[in-house]
Order: sequence, then C-alpha cells, then structure tokens
Amino acid sequence: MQKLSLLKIITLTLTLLFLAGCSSNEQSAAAATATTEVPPDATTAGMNTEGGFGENTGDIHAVCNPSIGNDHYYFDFDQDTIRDDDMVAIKNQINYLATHNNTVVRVEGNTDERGSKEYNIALGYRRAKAVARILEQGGVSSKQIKIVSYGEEKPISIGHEESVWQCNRRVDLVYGDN
Amino acid sequence: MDIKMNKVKFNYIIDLIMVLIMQKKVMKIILIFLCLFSTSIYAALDLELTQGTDSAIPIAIVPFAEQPEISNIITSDLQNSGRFRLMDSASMEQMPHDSSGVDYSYWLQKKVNNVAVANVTSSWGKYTINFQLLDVYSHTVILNKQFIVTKDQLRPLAHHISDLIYQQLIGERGIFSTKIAYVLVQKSVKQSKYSLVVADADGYGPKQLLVSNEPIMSPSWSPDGKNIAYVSFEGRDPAIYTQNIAAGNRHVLSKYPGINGAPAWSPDGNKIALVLTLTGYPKIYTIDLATSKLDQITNGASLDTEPSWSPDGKAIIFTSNSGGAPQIYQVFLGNKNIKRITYRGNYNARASFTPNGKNIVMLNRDGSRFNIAVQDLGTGRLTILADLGINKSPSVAANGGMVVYATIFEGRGVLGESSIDGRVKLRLPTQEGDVQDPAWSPFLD
Repeated sequence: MQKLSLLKIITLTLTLLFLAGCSSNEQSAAAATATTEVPPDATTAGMNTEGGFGENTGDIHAVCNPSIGNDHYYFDFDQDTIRDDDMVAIKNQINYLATHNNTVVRVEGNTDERGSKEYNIALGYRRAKAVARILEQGGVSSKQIKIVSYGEEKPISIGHEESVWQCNRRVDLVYGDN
Repeated sequence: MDIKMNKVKFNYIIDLIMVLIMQKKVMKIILIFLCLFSTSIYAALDLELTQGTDSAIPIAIVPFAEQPEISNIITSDLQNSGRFRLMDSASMEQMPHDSSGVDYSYWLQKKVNNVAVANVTSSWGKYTINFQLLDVYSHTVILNKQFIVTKDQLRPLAHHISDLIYQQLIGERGIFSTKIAYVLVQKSVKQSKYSLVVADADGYGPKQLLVSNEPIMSPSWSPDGKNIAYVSFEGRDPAIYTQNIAAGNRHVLSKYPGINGAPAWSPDGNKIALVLTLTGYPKIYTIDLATSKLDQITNGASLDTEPSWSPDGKAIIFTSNSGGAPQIYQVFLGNKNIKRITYRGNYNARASFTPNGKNIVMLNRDGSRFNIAVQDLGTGRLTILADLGINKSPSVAANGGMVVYATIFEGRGVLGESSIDGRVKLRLPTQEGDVQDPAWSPFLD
C-alpha cells in the first residue's frame, strides 16, 4: 500500500515537471510540436497470455505499473529476449513512430540490482538495443530512436527480492524529452 | 574497547544545543532541525570492526597529554586494522609522556609488546608533538619523531603516526592517510539525490564533490590522487568527467551517444580506459589525455566493460560475456592478444589487480550467491572475502592489504571492508542514505 501512494506522488511530481516545460536545448522545434499528440499507451494492449514465459507474463504490467514513461517491456534475469506480449505492444509504437517522423523516442534499458554495476549498464543497453532493433525492423528510422542505459541505477521498485527485481528488469519507452 | 568517533560529533551537538537554549523557542526548534541535518552530513560513515585476527600485536597508546584526540585516532586506526590489540587507556595506571618516564616492568606485566608515548605543547597556534614508540621486551625506543603542526593538521598527523607505527611493526605501508570515494544516494518521496563524496579512510570528514538529481557511478582516482574520473547522468544521458579534487573544476572526457562508462586511469596517469558503444556494442577504449586520441582495444559483438589496468600498464583486464556469462579477460596492449583469466564460478566481473600484480579481486558468483573474491593469478586459487548479502564493486587499498566493497546491511547500502586474507572484517554504515560504488585512493603522501 505504501508503494502505491509513493508512486502516486512520483506521478504527480513528474506530471508537474513535464507540464513546467522541458527546457532541454537538444530538443528541436519540430520534436517539441510533436508532443501535443499523445502516443499510444500500450498497457491495455498485448495482454494475450500466449507469452513464452508462463501465466505470470500477462500480469507483470499490472503488478509493476510504473507511472512514468509511456510503455514498458520486461525481461528475465541476465536476458535481453523480448517477450511475445511485449512484441505486440512494441508494434503499436512502430505504427505511431512511422506516422510521426519528427518524434524521437528514448529507449531506456534497465536491470535489477544483482551483479556488477557497469556490466548492468551494458546489459541494460543490450535490452534497449533489442527493442530498438524491432522498431527499426518495423521501418522506424534510427534517427527517431535514442538508446540509453541506466543499468540498475533507476529502479522502479525498491527491495531485495524477485517480486521487486522483476519490475526493474525492463525497457521504458519515453516520449516527450530527448 | 571500541572508541567511537561520535564523541567529537556529540560534543559539537551538545555545544550547539546549549547555545540554542538561550534563544527564543521558535528559532531554537528550527535551528536544532538544521544542525541535526548538517551534522548528519558531517561524519557520514562510522567504522565498525566486526572480525579481528588472532595474531594481533598487543600495543598501548598512552593518551597524549593536552591532545587525547590524537591518541584516540591512532588507537581507532590500529584497532580497526585488525592487526593490533589495543590496551584500554582506562586500565592504564601509568601514563608516561616520554621514554624517560617509562617503567618497562609495568608494561611487561601488562603483556604489551609496544608502547607509544607523546609530549604535546602548544604556543601561538602551533602544536609541538614529541612522539616515541618503544619496544617493551628490548627496552628500546624504536621510533623518535618531532612534529610541529597547526590545529587542523592534528587529525592528519594522527593518521600519519598510525602509518609510522604500522610500517614499523607490520613491515608494510599503512593506509590510514588514504581516502575513499563513494556515491551516496538519498532517496526521498520526490526524487533521489546522488552525491559523489570523498572521505578519510576511517569515514571521517566527507567532502561532496558533486551533487546531482541523476545517478553518479564508477569513481576512479588518478594515480597521483589529485583527480577523479566518474560517470554522471546529469542531463539524463551518461558522460564521463574528470574533476580536480582540491579545486573542484572539471572537464568532460567523453559524451558520445550510448554508453560512456567505467573510466579507469592508467598507472602512469597518461590515459583513461573507458567503455563506449560507438560500434553498437560496449567495447573497451583508451583515451590519451594529452592528445585526446581514442584507441579501440576490444571488438566484436560481446559486452565488454569494467576495464582495469595491470600495475605495469601493459595490459588491461575487463569483464566480457564473449564466453556466454560475464568472465574476466586480459588484453595485452602491445599485440591486443586476449586471454581468459577466470574459470571458477558462473559470473565474474569488476576485477582489479592488487598492487603487486599477483592477484585479482573481483565480484564472483558461484551458484546464486555474489561474493567478493581474490584469485591468485599464479595458482588460480580463489579465496572468498565476503559472501553474505548483495555484494559488489570491490576496490583494493593502496597497500594491497584491504578491500572495500558495497553491500546491503539491514536493507541499506553500506560499505564493507575485508583484509586481503579474509581475516579482518569491517563495516562502514551510514547514518542516512545508501552508500555504493567505493573507490580506494592511492597513497596521498
């Protein structure tokens, strides 16, 4: 329960920060105007349970439910294989990006806290790259994709057990900032 | 027997509170909150010896007249090295201040091998310390030194005397005057705050080099101890900076798209090894600091990261998953030949050499447990230094005798220390926040 209200406060704060304006000087004017349209939030899509990793796969988006970023994909420990239901959600992003050529999406790779920090940066990068590859195979230009890895440094859930770790092994798609 | 550094901090707090009681009630409440907050930054790490060694040398540090604080620091230093058993000053019936006042038969009866005494006088803001270390069994003065210092040099002098005693009796250089860099993470409801901090090796006197709302990682000391390289995610993307510790000014070393990671200064100080994804895969590179020339050291489709130089500067060891799971490999910079180094365990990462080049210290996993381990490069033998908890990020002290690493204790990030033979264990818990990513400094004197 405590975790939910914490997430609500994070959501509110981050919403206010986004509304206050992204003053990044890397952002082009074209990309700034593109943010007035809302890209698809795929948490309601891709709930088919035919995923290759058992009945828990369909639930993970509801269990983890980070309130920042626009879409999230989850991974097994030390793996960068994209799950089947996440594949469906990524395809929705492809459609959006293909029709909004000026929009750049940040593909942010993350890991859980186990293992070595810099190796986790590399692992997070590899996860983000796997998602980026799907986007590119779907026709999205590499100019619209920015790959970043945070490794274990930005967990969405705090704690030292698998129920927490599974939520942190993720790639987040983030629109709105470069 | 445990002498804690908090004595100084508590005296400071009590003085402040006494002053505040004189003030009006409202101001008093506000100021107490402020000073509690500020003193919690003041000494963020407390050293706790959790395991000593049986072969500890019994020694007595007689409280220095006028400046018992110096002898307190020396006592803590030697106690925390795990190599000495310190006689409790409360049970000393004699307190000589120089060799002429020493009754050897008394110390013989107390079964101490060595006694340290000092005579301290002060005038015009300068302190004169006449220090002597005595061998009880041979009745001789084995160290005889005079120091003249100012008040703020007293603490460094105490550590220097600890180094002298350690060198004299153990036969290797002490690390009491070295420092540890680390990252402090303070999580709050709104957002996390990250600080890059440098503190004395006993945790005292933390100094913030950088404060950020985004992660900071992988501090790396230059061999002269004057600069530090690190990864900062300020602006949301990672870049490597080098910063002068005394002046605080810094330069961007690397800010390419993708990964800029794991900086490691070469032993001659001329190059920094780092990780970049210019090829689309994390690879090891070196940058020449004078020319800015970039050299690609590894290639291929594997994840290569965490470079660390051999003491002679001719090779780099690094983590790679080219064999499947992360293991340690060594690349010779002359011919770029690569050889695998680790074969025990299903995950080996973040390796670094001991100063004599004979061992590597790393993160090792066998089964499901992450250990801090030492591998003898000659025999291949692996010794586990720490196995309980979530361990990572080992860093070797300048004398090769101790390893500091990050671990979780009671749910919070703290630093652990182990002697290289695994016999002495310490913990440095923090009073607030989580500590991670430690880097032990080179010798600084």
